[in-house]
Amino acid sequence: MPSESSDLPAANGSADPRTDEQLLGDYRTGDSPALRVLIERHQADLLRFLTRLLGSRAAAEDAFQDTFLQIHISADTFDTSRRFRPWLFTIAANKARDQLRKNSRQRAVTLSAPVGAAGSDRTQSFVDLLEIDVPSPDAALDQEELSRQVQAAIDKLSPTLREILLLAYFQKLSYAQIADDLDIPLGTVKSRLHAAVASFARNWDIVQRAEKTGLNEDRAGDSA
Amino acid sequence: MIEHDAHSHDPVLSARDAEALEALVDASYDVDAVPSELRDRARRVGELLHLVGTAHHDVGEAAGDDALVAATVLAVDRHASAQANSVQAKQVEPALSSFDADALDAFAFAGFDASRVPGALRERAGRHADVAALLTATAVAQESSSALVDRTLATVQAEIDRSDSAMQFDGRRGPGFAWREIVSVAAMLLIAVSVVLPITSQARHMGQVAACSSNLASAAAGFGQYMNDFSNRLPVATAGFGSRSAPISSWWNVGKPAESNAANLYHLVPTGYASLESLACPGNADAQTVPISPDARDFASLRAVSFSYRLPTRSMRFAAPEGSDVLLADRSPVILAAATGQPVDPFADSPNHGARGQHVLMGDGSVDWIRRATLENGDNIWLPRTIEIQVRRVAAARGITLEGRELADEEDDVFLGP
Repeated sequence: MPSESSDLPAANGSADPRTDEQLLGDYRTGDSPALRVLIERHQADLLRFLTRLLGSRAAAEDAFQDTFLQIHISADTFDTSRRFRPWLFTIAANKARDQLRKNSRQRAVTLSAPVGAAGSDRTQSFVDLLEIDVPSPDAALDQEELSRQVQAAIDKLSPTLREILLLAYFQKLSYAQIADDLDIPLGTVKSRLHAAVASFARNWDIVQRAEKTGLNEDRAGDSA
Repeated sequence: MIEHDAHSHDPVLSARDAEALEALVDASYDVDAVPSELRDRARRVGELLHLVGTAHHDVGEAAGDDALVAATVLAVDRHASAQANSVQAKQVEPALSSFDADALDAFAFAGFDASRVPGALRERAGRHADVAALLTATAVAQESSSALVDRTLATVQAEIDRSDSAMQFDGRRGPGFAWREIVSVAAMLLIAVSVVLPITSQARHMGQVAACSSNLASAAAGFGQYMNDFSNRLPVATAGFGSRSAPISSWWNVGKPAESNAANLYHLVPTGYASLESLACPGNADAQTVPISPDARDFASLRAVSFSYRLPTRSMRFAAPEGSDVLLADRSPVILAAATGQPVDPFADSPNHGARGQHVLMGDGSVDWIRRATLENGDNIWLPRTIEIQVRRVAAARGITLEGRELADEEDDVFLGP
């Protein structure tokens, strides 16, 4: 999981004792190597975030580079009294949205777009997390397989839901902070995150059931 | 309430009843979950459906409204078959159960730490934590790649080269100066090779350095004129920076003319001795070149200030400038760090030119480039004398702090900010 606060240097990545905000401050006053420290410090988390958001490692790497290029261009505008990490992830989400638009894989979405299908075609089904098989983090599972299944469940989400879900869980911010970062009303953050978690849980359940069905079919085929 | 389709013998519900029925089905037959404007009708439809469920065979007699019941049953059947037959046409949007929704709110409120969620919701918050971990902690393929870091840095470097090249060839970031000025300053720089060689060691910075030097030379003319008009005094606009017993918060509070040292420099602008462009260094991306209002008396913000100016003594005095006195320099890295609560490095160079050194405007109106913040006489231009003494005493100079209330200790103490 990502570090709680960038007030302290991240434990993973670089052993540089400076905080993210100090590193950016140093970078803009001419300390070029500070950027490498920042990139290395956030590489794993940011790349995971972008891969989940874009569904492709190659697209994520492009967005990753675009993100740090934007950090370089906008370094002087960053208010070092604020936290660096939410700024980084917000820029990354914008770059990911640009990628989606550029690749025309998805229609352009705006943060103010309504959630879900329009009008009378929308119905609701309630998700109970206690009834869904979500593995605990310490469960011994095939990580590659698990990763593929997670991505399959995320890919079924609309870009809007995918973005709020990943931003919230990667940044671990309060609703108010997310609303501030994304410039959307607090109530929208709350309803959208609820919808995103419910949709992800449902998709995860579908993926799991499909996997089990596939396994059973394989076993039946083997025994026959 | 009951209408008949012209092409069918089946009775059909009125539009409002059909809407209420739809809403009731959407709400999983929970009348209380139906929007209030439809609730009464939905309740009635629900009562009829209840009859359908409990006394289907006797429905005609029991309800006394067999047409409505029949229409309702038909509508329900249609709804069910429509759902079954067109799963793709109908978007089923999952929502969290109310317990899970409450748990998610509590989980977010607790900073996404399930152990801090109140007991009643902790178990469900734990499931949210599992979902969060699934999303954020699951490995992605080929996670670590130093090649990606190198490629990213190369992308940034290409942008630096591109923007430096643009600076050299079209001068877009250099406000208020023309090609002719750049060329003439560049020619002078070549003549004064002994002074300027260190500056030009990186040829790509030539444009910025030359433009900055040119701007400072213009500002120097304004200083000279002002001092001629005001008995050799340096420009001052503020009445003072408080007293020892009642100090101001910080003289780096740019934007508050009564407290800001930058307002003293800015004083040259409204009085007509210098333009804001001449007080801007192209190496400062946030440099301000237009007043924020016609009656402005200070720069907009600390970052908008390109040059650091002499701080007076507490009695607002400066020594009459001599040729070797530094009046102005590229902005102080010490103040930029101190104002944001970061440790300061007293020997750092200005960020205006990539921390390679800084321009200084001397008392005789000349513009020099110095590679170090300490002058030949040992005076550090970023610090007042008392703090310089502290710095010499402590081995780890990074331990010093500034509060923005320090002032020059002597009239000849060069101490610049913001």
